[in-house]
Amino acid sequence: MFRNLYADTRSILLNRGFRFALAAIVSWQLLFLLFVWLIQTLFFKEALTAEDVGFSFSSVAVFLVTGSSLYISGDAFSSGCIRNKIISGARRTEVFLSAVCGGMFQGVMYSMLACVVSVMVSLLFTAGYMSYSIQEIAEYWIVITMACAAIGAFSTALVMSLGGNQLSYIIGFALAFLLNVVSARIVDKLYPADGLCALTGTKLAAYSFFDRFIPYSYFTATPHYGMGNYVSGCAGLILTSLAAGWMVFRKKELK
Amino acid sequence: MINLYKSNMRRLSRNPLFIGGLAIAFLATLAFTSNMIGLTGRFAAIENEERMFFISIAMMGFFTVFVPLFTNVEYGNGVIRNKLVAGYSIKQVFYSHLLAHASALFLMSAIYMLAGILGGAKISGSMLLKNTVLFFALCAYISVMLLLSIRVKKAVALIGYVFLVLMFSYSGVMTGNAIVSFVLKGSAKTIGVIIYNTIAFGQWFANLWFSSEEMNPGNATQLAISAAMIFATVFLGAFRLDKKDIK
Amino acid sequence: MEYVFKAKGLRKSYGKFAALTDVNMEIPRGAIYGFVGKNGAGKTTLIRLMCGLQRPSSGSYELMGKAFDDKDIVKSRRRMGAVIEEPAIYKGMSARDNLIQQCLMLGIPDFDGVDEILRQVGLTDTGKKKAGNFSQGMRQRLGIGIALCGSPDFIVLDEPINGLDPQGIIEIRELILKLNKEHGVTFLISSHILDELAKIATNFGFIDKGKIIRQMSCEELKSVCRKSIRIKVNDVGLFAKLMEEKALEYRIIDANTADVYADLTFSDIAKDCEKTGCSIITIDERNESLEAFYLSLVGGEDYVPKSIR
Repeated sequence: MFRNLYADTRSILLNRGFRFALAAIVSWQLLFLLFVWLIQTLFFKEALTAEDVGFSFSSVAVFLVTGSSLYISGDAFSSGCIRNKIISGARRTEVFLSAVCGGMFQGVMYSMLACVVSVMVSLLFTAGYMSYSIQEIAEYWIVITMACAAIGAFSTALVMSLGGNQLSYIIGFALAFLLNVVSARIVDKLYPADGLCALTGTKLAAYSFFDRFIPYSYFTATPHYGMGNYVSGCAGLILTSLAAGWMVFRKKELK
Repeated sequence: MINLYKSNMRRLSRNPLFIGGLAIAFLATLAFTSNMIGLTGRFAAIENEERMFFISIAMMGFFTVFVPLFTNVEYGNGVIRNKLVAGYSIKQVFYSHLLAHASALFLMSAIYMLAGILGGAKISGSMLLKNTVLFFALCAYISVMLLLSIRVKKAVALIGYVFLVLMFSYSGVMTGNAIVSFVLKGSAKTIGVIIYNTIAFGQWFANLWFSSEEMNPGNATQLAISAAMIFATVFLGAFRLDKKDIK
Repeated sequence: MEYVFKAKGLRKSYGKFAALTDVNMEIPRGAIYGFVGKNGAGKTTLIRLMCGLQRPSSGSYELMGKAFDDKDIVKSRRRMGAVIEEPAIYKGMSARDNLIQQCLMLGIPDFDGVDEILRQVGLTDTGKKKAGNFSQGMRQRLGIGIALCGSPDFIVLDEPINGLDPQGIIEIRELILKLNKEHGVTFLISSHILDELAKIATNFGFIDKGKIIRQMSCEELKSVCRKSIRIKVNDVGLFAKLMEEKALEYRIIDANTADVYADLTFSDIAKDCEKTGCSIITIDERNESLEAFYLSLVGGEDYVPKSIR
């Protein structure tokens, strides 16, 4: 199992898609900084605060983690690596677990890099955080990291259970897009800019459940629940992906 | 090239995703327009035609998935080689796909209109005009999808890019509403409105019953923007395409 | 002589790597041209240029009398079919549908010939089975079937018998011979299975490191691939001395074996050997194989492994 984990981690680190994603994170945060600085300077004529630029990663995180894990695990299928592992005697359970751990590893790495870049950008180019304490910022990044790991696990499990089919990419990206859109709408309904939340009954329960326990919604706003909710949500997605994905993958006929 | 178009149309007519899409377009439009699904609130209060127009944006979602899947087969299965060996150029393959997808959109739009009329939407000049504007906006969107599909060979990268375009379309329109309404003024506002309407989603949003009138530059302008987008993306798609080496 | 394909000074580079260098090649009309080369020699690169998939970096070629940059080359390409590396087939369609697609694309008004092509390549029983579920051999046959659509005058086959069973190899060989003899179709076949190629090719082209090193007809090849008599003796030193005295061309293979490149009568050689005290153990006739000839061409005589000497 550790041999598989080592091999998978190594192949992720050497994968062009992984390095491209890391470069994209850095580029995005710097471009966002430039864009916001221009808006603030030209239109609002105000100084830049860390709140304006420090959370830019969340707007691309879902897509980036989904895309990267789909690409890298899809690559493993199309190149025949999964087939080779099984031929050489590795158990399906180990192959699957190792791949999902790889997906989680990717999510964690992207989030950590984004955190480092965000801190550096905040220190070098802004007047600092005005509304958030260090503890709140740390909580935010912990939640984002857990959510990225959960999404990485889910996307990888999806590819493994569908056998690297094009359908897995479409489902992965479509879910990322739809949940992103739905999350924004839910947050808007639960915490409207003007007035109080008008939702009641089942709708309120459903919206609240989504906001609390679905990791895709954690990128829409800064943490506003206890850490336990976020841990449960991320763990729930990871365990569901592992269980459902493993049940499909162990019986799957590979070509 | 007519032969390429015919072979694409035959493939289209046997594509289960397209046939399923037509069936869903019919059923969804019928159900939504006639309010069979029991919508309440603002959706219940509006006219059938408005509900019909609201659901039409689902075609954008459909073609986001369909165009890359249909066209990427050329590279994925290597069948583009058969066409090049037979003497066609990659540009001709590109144009034939463009025509085929435009035909597919036309078919789907016809099914959508039929379902809308059956669902109780009244045919009027403004209804036909709005749907014509949306048709051309979707043609422009399809040409963007096709530009990516003919240039990007790897399936997962292509699907990533098209969803990125979809996400930017959505985010751009949502942000654009706020920027144009509250930030931009004068000629900057006019330019903002034009940029907003280059996106098919933007044109659809601008024609909705609850949209602010200032987001809609007029049907003629929207048609002109769509035509310009189609021209630009087809030009970019075909630019130096024949210089590509195929393996 | 009329040529279906003529290349002059053809070059193809990918960045700094020169895949083809100064290629001059002629494929006579009506020939079955066997194209032979090592892995990475440039066979598939040349085939891709020929088929219009890629453009040459420099040099020129003519296809059925039309220059490669002539607008009318489209007409020449319509009369050509090809299977390059992996067969190009719609995996989501049946064999019949794939052939119909090809016919539509070529502008053939009816599909009457489709069933005949399926019969020729041995895929009549596939029904509605999708090509994605075919075995490698079946896909190869379908690829060849697609190349046959439109009754082309020139067919390019890159490794056509890859994945085929022995019966399939025979069927494809007979199909090629039939089309060539009865319909005058010209073939370019690139293959690593030289014995198979030797059975059908009328012309050969040998390529190595991006250059055509030799082109020859079948007759020329036969004369170059020499007959010899392999003699196993108890003392090859004595035998060699005898050959020197008789001024006969020979080559020592090992301590007990020698090849003699001359017409010998068994009784005469047996008598001469007995006089010298040399005993003949075995004697048999051999032809230098195409394999040995090819290997000596690309790597020199010393490169020819013992197993095929």
